[in-house]
Amino acid sequence: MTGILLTPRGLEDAVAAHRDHPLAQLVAGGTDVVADLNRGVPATGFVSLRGVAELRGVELRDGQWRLGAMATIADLRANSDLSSASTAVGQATRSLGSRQIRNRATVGGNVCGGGNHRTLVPVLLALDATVDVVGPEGSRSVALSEVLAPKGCRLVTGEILAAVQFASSVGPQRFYRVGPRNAACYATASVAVVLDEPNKAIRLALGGVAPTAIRAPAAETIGSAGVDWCNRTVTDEVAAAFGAAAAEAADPVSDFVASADYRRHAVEVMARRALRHIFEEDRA
Amino acid sequence: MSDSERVTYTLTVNGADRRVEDAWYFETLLEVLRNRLGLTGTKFACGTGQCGACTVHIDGLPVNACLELAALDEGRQITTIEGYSPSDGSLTPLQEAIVTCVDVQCGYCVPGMVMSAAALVAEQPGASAEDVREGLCGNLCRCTAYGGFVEAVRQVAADGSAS
Repeated sequence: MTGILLTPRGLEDAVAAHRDHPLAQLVAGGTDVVADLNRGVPATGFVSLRGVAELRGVELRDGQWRLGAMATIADLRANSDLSSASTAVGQATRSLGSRQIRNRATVGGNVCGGGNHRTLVPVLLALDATVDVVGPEGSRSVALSEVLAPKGCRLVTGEILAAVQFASSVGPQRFYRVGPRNAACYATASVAVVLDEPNKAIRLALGGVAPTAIRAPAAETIGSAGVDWCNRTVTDEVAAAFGAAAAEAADPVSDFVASADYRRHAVEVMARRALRHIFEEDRA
Repeated sequence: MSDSERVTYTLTVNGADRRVEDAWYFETLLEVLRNRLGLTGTKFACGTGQCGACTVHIDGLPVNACLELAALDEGRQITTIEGYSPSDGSLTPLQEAIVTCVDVQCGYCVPGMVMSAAALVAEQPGASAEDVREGLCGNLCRCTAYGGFVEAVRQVAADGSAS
């Protein structure tokens, strides 16, 4: 094992440390990186972002939520507007890890950790989130879907994820998942549905059924065109077609957790139910 | 910031400053507590944050010590099961309730379970059995004594006296 531990105290220092030590791994909450260490993955140095105050914070400004990359899942849940039971963020974070994990796992780790099993990512995709990225050449904003990757994330060398942003005033939303147990495990498959009321559009994201979490545009088109926006209802036929299109968008693998058929079936059922439940709850 | 693979730092554990000399920068808090500081009440089991046997409090929050880089915890208040338990050898009301309600066979999960439950009761006084089941989802008991743990913690949450 080689490497050193760097603990920058500000964003500028963090970017410099990341640039000067390309082999050192960025550590946010450590819930993935240190678990890998315990599994025997050799350490090549760490740049801990824990001391970087600019990356923390959860705030609502000018109608946009801004979740700092180092905001923990517990930080998100501590904000009752962001994480009420009626928001997809609230529903998803309740099922993310355990209380111990939520005190350490971060927004940035969910986005940059890679894979298709991250609990928060489908929700952020359905909320049409953008990410703020900072690097040696300056900062930029890009769609969340542009940075997701099966392993790690697609940032330019030297860049650090700073924050995730999305509009606060959308509409009713749902997050559903299936997993080996009800909590403290990764979802086998998940769906996030958001009604974008201002734009009369439905957004659907799927987790666990493609190399990264994905949007399902064909299903979104069926949903957006099929629901009755004036009377706020959806027919069983539209909900079924929405679910079928979600399954069509899925390209899952079979592994030791579940078969591809199971995952495809699960997103079909969950997407259909999520759309119906949004409208049923709306009327109740 | 360190400039070598070996680091020296001070941890505040159970109210006392403990010097950690010449440790590897990648040592976890669990390894340092057990192997360097002799605090073996905190247990190692999964090493991946699933089982909660290593639960400690850092600045009052329950976390998995196996997922903490110890060198990053300088300046934080770390409480282990040794610090939570009364120094005169008596038990807290939570520990008493667990002794009364829970039939464990091996006991390996108990320190982590106690630390997790103590934080839960402080956070959610009056927690229902359902709240306790959800709140303790990060602690596994392979003897499956969950019913007893839930009942013990619920009773203490209702009484509002974990420690």
